[in-house]
Amino acid sequence: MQQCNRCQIRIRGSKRVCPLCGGALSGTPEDPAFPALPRRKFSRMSAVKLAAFLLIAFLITDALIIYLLNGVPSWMPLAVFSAAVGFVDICILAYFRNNILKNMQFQVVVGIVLSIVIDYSTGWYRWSIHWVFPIAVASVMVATIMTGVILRMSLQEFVLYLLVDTLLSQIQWFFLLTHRNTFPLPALISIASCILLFLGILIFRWRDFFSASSRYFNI
Amino acid sequence: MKKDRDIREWYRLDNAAKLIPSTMNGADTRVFRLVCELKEEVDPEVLQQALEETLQEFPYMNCCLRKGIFWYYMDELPGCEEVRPENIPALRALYIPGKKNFLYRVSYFHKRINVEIFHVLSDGTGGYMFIQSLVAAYLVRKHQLDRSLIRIDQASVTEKQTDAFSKYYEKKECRKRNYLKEMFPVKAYQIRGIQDPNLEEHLLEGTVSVQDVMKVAHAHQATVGILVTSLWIEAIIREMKRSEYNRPVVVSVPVNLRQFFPSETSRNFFGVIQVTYYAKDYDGTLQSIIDPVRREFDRQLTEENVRKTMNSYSALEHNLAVRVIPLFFKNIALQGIAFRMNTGVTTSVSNVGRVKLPDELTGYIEKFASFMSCKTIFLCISSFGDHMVFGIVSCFERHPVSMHFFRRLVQLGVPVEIASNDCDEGV
Repeated sequence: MQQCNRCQIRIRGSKRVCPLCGGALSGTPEDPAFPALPRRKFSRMSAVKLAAFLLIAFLITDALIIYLLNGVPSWMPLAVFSAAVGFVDICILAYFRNNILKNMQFQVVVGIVLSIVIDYSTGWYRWSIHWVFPIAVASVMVATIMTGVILRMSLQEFVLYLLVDTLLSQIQWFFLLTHRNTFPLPALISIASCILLFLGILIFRWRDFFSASSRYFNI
Repeated sequence: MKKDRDIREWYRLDNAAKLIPSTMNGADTRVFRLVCELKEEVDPEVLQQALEETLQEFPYMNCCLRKGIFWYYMDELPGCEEVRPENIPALRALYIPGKKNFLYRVSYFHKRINVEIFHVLSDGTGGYMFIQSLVAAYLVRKHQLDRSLIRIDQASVTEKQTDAFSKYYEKKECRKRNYLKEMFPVKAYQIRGIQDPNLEEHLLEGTVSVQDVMKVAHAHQATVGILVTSLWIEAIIREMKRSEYNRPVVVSVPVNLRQFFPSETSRNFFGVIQVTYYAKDYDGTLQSIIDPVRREFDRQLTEENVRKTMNSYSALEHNLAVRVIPLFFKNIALQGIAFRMNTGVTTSVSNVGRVKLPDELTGYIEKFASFMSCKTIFLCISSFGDHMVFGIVSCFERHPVSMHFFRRLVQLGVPVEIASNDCDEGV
């Protein structure tokens, strides 16, 4: 066994110096009690940091363009908004990287909001509420079920995401009832299909829904 | 999609566990490690079989942590963790948000069996119940011992997973505590140092003879817990500058509530007392620390005080206003409160206690040790036979406080043997 003559302590393992005082050791090394910690450099680069840097670089470039052109180009507000949404999206992606279903829900919400804003700021042709919104909610519902099947999840693990999708689809009523949606067929189909699918689950697999709800909403 | 007609079990977190996921931060993964060192090399296959057998008595361990709207909860997982050789740094995080993984890890390194447990599942005492059962199952299988002679505990599966905080909560006792004062504690001295660049925890294991420590404790008319806490405070004072003497050294000491409220639970059931000492009261003798520390222990460790503390913990959880706040906001609030409260604590000392196993098993076991992850330095004391092990976890690369602590023990006539996981490229 090794020994530190300064600390008067016996040291187990095979150390070059005393872990307490850093002094030289005498004696014979033997089996350690722990594997030694690796001396590696931790990479602090992450997607979020890279995205933050790119966003700041983009904003500085915009400021330079404004200075050089002596005015704000018409495309710039939308570009800045899109860059900010892109950054938020990457943050969400990183935060929920271990939960693919939750990630999908948030991505769809961000996508829908972004498309509505772009549509509104480019002349309000309503393609976002006529097509993007209904297709997005129906797709995420299907994608949630497919993911559950592929990952061999039990229904109780993702049934509440289906509830969220169904509730998300109901937001389309706002555009329908306020006559902002002038081509209602896709929206109605997506609302009806989401409700039907969820009701089916509720009727045929209510036990899974009840079990998931009781643990998820426990107070 | 699995046709999961048999709905899997789920569990609410106990009172202490509710705070734990929110307070994980950096190196402080809220994971603790229990080690059993055998007198022979570990056989991984037998250990895996022993683990599967043990988990039948601790089904509650086989869970993952999930987020609900209002609280975290635990979902039962099928199967069990695989026993692996120790090849990742100690006390690595077990809970990764979104991942469905077990909240414990079993590994081996030569003669040592390591069990790492996320604090949400259990406290030190509960963890020791688990590792004792695991080691007993391992040795019975490995050496074909007579199973009928080996009794580790008498508790049923249900008793082991009881939420003892809820069981002993008395509503009328809960309004005797000033939370506001606790959220803004006196600012304690903070140990500083160069943090590990990879945010890994450094483990130092100091082994001494129980008899030697008892002799020193008796000479100072103190218990082992009081002596070690005092020695630890003295080691910290030696690292303080004179200008920092106005800040008290505050030692957080976890208390096993099972000694006050009979319970066989393996889940969390502990409280915390805080021992405060001002360095300016130190006159160079150990006795000048031991006397005030003893008074603090005597004052705080009465049944009445412990009952009030325990009820106050549970009262927060039972408060309707707290319950209905969504988890997202609770997490933010708890992180803020934990940050404030950490400024009121210098270090922690946990006397996990003496491990007792049937005589048929003791011949195969060298010692037990325990380690708890932390943001600064945490000292755990475990003893088995004549081996007392000081398990020190530090997030710093150098260990001056531990050096003063162990050198003082040697000075008092207690020979020390240490082991560490420090990188060998110098300290």
